[in-house]
Order: sequence, then structure tokens, then C-alpha cells
Amino acid sequence: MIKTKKRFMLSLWAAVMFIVSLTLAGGPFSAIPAWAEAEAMYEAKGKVKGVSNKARTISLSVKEKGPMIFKFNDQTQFIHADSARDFKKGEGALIKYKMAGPDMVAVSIKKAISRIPQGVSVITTPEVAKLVKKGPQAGNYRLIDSRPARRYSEGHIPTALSVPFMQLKKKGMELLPPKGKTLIFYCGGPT
Amino acid sequence: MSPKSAGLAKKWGYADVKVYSEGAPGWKQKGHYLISTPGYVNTANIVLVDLRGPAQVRAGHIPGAVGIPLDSLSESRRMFPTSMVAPIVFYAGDIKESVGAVKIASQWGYKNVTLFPFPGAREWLAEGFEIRTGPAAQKIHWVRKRGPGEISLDDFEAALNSGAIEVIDVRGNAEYEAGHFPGAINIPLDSLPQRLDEIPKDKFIVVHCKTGVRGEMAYLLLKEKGYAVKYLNANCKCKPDGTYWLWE
Repeated sequence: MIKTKKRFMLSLWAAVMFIVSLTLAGGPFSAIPAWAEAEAMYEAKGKVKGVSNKARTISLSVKEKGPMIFKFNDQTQFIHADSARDFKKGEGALIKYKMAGPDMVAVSIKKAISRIPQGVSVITTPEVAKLVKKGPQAGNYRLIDSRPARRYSEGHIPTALSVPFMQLKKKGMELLPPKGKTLIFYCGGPT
Repeated sequence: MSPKSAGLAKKWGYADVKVYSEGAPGWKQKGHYLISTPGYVNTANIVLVDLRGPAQVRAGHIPGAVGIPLDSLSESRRMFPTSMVAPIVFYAGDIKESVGAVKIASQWGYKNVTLFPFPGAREWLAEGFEIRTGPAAQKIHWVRKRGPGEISLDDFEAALNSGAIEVIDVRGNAEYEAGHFPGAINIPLDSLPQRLDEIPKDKFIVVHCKTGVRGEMAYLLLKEKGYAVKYLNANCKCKPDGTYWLWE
């Protein structure tokens, strides 16, 4: 009788170990319970309105929905960013989230980054500084500020011309200097 | 914006197109200076500093400028606004002096320091802008212009004492417990969307947090929900006995 019980305990132990090993391997018994996995995932895309590390919230202004407030936690995955600190006001972000009771909890927060078009290369600060020192003639370049004119007027890099992206799109290449020189575009950072 | 512009240039047949992706913020961060335009210097709400000596200033300066010769700039620090986001523009006879002043003010912690290349007074006059003779102002008078929804410090304090205005503290519970404004109710930002029914629609609402960051998020949400609301974009510290400090 006692022996049978022992054997039963052993097989029970083996079964538990089996389940644990599956869990560790990320198998069918993964750390996320099935009901949570089945939970609907939503998406919101918009401009960052504010980030609070203290309240662990990020707020986005979403088209046709207005401001939305999301919680983030240690499980939240940041894409193209190391932490919530890397999200600045006005930048684009895509948030995948789940509902936890009444809260919207971010599963992932992805920073919108513009891809550099084919055939266009990236230039660094020391390289730009070297050219600016030479000046547009000797350096054979034209530096173009793509931000709205108001931002240019507040403060721009020496020797830069103002050609806001929206105007360039509307009015076309006549806003650009003649061909034959290096054209360098910049704006308000990698957004 | 710049990669898109570069893409257009490439499409239009420009051979050598580059993107400086760090952009204006990266440029400034690496210790380089930015230039303001005559139109901005003429009309914007800025602290404008003429770094030249009194004789040159009297001979002709930009209206609104404060005369602080470069060699006395360091000892004039206390004259500058308490707000570190106050836009400060320096000009001098020699651009090197302006560059030096930009460095000093940036080291003080000011975030929006630029220079105006005044030897190009030609540019200033070409715009038809005025040059004023005589002495320049000796004191800085700069009042922050408030953005949408921002309440002034004075109005905020008045709101605390008004029964018609509900002040909502959107900091966390623990922060609130450690000290809060007399009369303020606590609804942490993250629970705000679910607790809207606790906020009266027939009162004017003022939200605040510790620095204005959460306050602004709360402001945007409440405005969207149709509340008459403002927020405090300033720093505050509250003691358990109800005493507090407010600063910008």
C-alpha cells in the first residue's frame, strides 16, 4: 500500500517536472496563460503627446480618436527605442495594446522612423561641421532645412536654406538650388 | 521630413543627396550654434542681448535688446529668466563673441540659445527693420507666453481658493499623500479615463502634477471630453502641512 503511494508520488513528480520543462521551453504551457494569449490585441498610431516615467504612461494623439493614455510596464517592448524616455513630444509612435480591466496596457511601443531613401546617404555632425566651416562655395554643398519656416526662423544651422518639406512637395524642384552640388537635408531629428 | 525631401530630390535627378539625420537637435547637442533670422529677432518673445560696448550700442542697436557687454555676461547671470526654456538670442560685432555667449548661456542650462549675426546688419536693414540709437535697456523683461491650456502661477493659486474651480492633482496616490495643495482632489493620470464621472462638468477644472508633463496629458484628455480645463505647466512641491512651492 505504502509502496503504491510512493510510486504514485513519483509519477506525479515526473508529470510536474514534464510540465515545468515544457514551460521553460516555451511550449504549450508557456508563462502566458492561454486566456491572456487569446485576449484581443489592439493598435493605435499617432503622435506622442507626453510621456511620464513616474506614472508609467504614454499619451498619444490618435486621428479621429483624440488623446489616448496607455500604461506601460516592464513587459512592454520598445521598438527602435531603448525606453519610454526615447519618445519625445510630436514623434510618431505605434502602440500595440491589450485591455486589462479598464486600462490600456502597451504590449509594444514602436517609434516611427523614416527610412533613408535608396541612393541617399547619411552624413554625420563632424562632416556637416567641416563643410559649414568651409562654406557652401568652397564646400560645394547646399544645406537645406526641411522643417516648417517658423522652426527655421527660431534657429537653423549656419549656411542653411529654408525649404519646408510641405512646400517642396507642393511646389516641386524649382525650390531647390541648381544641380551639381551636394544637397544635404536636415530636420528636427530622426522622427 | 528630411528623408522625404531627400527622396524627392533623388527622384528629380539630383546625383549627390545626403541626409543629416541628427538634425538641428543633434547639431546643438554637439555644441554647435544655431542662427535666428531677422524676422524672428524682430517679432518673437525673446531675450535679446547686445554684447557690444556701450558706445557701439548707443550708435545703433536692435530695439528691445538689453546691453550686456560680453566681459560682464557671467556676472549678469541672475538677470536672466528663471525659466530654462526662455529663448535667448545674442548678437555682437564679432560672431565669435556671440558664439562664446551662446556657450556660456547653454552651460547655465538654457535650452533655447541662438545667435543673430549682427555684422549682417545689412540683412536687418534690408528687411526694413528699425535700428535705435541711444542707450539700450539694462534689465531683462521677459514674460513667458503661455501655450494652449496653460494657467499662470497666479491664476493657479487663485483657483485653489475658488469654490467654482476644481483642482485635480493627477500625480500618483503616494505622491499626493506625501503632500498636496489644499482643496485639490487626487485622480492619478492613469486612472483618469475611468474616473471621469468623478469630475464635475459644471465647474472649471484645473489639473496639475509635479512638472506639468502629466498635467498636460490630463488636460488634453479632459479637453477632448468637453471639459472647461486648464493645466499648470510648472514645478511644484507640497509639504504634508499644506505649504507649497511653485516655480517655472
